[in-house]
Amino acid sequence: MKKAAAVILASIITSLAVTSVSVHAEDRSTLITTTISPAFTVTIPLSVKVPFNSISTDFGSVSLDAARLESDKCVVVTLETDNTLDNKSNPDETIPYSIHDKSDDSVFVSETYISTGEKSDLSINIKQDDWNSAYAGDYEDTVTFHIQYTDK
Amino acid sequence: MKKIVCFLLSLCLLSFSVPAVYAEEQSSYSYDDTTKISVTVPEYHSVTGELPDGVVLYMDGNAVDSTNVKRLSSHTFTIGNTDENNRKIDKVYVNGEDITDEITGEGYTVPSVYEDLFFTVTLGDEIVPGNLEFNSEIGENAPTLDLTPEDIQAIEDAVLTDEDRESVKNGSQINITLSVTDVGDSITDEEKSLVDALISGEFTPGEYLDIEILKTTENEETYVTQLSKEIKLTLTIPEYLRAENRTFAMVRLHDGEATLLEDLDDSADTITFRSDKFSVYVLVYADAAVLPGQDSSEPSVDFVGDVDSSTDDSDGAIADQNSNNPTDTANTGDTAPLTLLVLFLTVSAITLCLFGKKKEN
Repeated sequence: MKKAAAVILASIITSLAVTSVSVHAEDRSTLITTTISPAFTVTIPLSVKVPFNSISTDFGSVSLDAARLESDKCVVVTLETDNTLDNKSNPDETIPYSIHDKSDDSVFVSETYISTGEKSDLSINIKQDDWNSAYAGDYEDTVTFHIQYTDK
Repeated sequence: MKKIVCFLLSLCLLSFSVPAVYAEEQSSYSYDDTTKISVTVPEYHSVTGELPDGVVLYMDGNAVDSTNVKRLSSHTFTIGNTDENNRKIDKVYVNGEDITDEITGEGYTVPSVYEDLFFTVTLGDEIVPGNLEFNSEIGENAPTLDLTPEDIQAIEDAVLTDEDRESVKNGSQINITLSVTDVGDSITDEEKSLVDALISGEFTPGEYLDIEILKTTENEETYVTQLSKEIKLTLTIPEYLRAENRTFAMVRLHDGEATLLEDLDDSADTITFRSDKFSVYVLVYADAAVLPGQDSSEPSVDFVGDVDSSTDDSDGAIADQNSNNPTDTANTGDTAPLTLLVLFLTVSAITLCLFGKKKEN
């Protein structure tokens, strides 16, 4: 019985090979397909400590690196922040701030990237009046970057 | 065995279908990442400065060199300057902002210190005090001035304003020139009438003088006609006006008003008067007779017209100024030469005698 099964299996495999050879022999076209998975790296700013009394501090960049996107796709980076630094000891004491795209000094909300190397240089801006009225202490805030691979 | 074959066949079919599923799942996706932003606001701020020697920074009235103040506290700053070279504060900056006017005035108040404060003070150039110079100019035939240093100081005090004194301190040059000019040729009839009306019968006009005070600064020349207070002036009587028992006075013509100013000194050779107005003056005199027994120092009239105090008393023709000799000729004011009269009477008497003898013969 085992021998019979082995023979059957060998026949199946052989028949497959024979079939292929026979296609070539008949000049039939064969579609060769491959799928390249999209890949990219989005770099976002590192945590930063803003120097005291600095009205514009370099916040690093959001950049699209090593991108291999589909032609109808893009990467959208959206910033989510409440634009307020909260005093660690007393959350009622805050310092307003904003994050700007240094290229045009506009407030950075979101940006679309398509190819490698595209980036947005960011700055953290705090108005002098806000500095001047800030109470002493340590302040902190966490911002979130939403990175989305989506249709153009 | 059939089951094994079916399993192997199924495996072959699966190996062709998995990649297509994977591709479908990667077509759209998203993820989040976070970054932290932090800042530390200091509790204290430093107060320091770059101050030249002699300059002191005061905070709330206390001299400070370098100190710390609590954030958002209020303080008032002033500047003290004791520069030994008399340089003045030129500019005061705090963190680059010019606050010169505030801090050199009532003080620079920071209602809420929100940053380190760094004061910078610069001084102006060294000030070399200016010079105040007094000159007197005496015109031709005019009486000379006899001024003591105290008199000059008094004139300067009366002529200079506070602004002038400050200007000299800051290096300006100011000249004060007191001039005395004979203006007898240019005096008007109207002015003469004013004088005559004042002194008629008592004094005789001797010399018309223009006494002027000219203040010259770097920018302008000003004739000062009205002083802040009276000053004392002493003039030497010109030789041609001096006479025995002659007294002098000064008439001031100012703004159409004639005022008689008495001689304040006892010297016969000078006249001293006080005035705070300067324009035309007239030196006037009066001659008085010395009655027998009268002190010749009192106003008197000398019988001799040309009096020379150096003339020898032995000629008997000139009253001895230092003698109370009652035998001296009384000064009547008659200037006719006595010797000639006596000679004329003697010759007349001799002639009459000679004519009388001839008639008898």
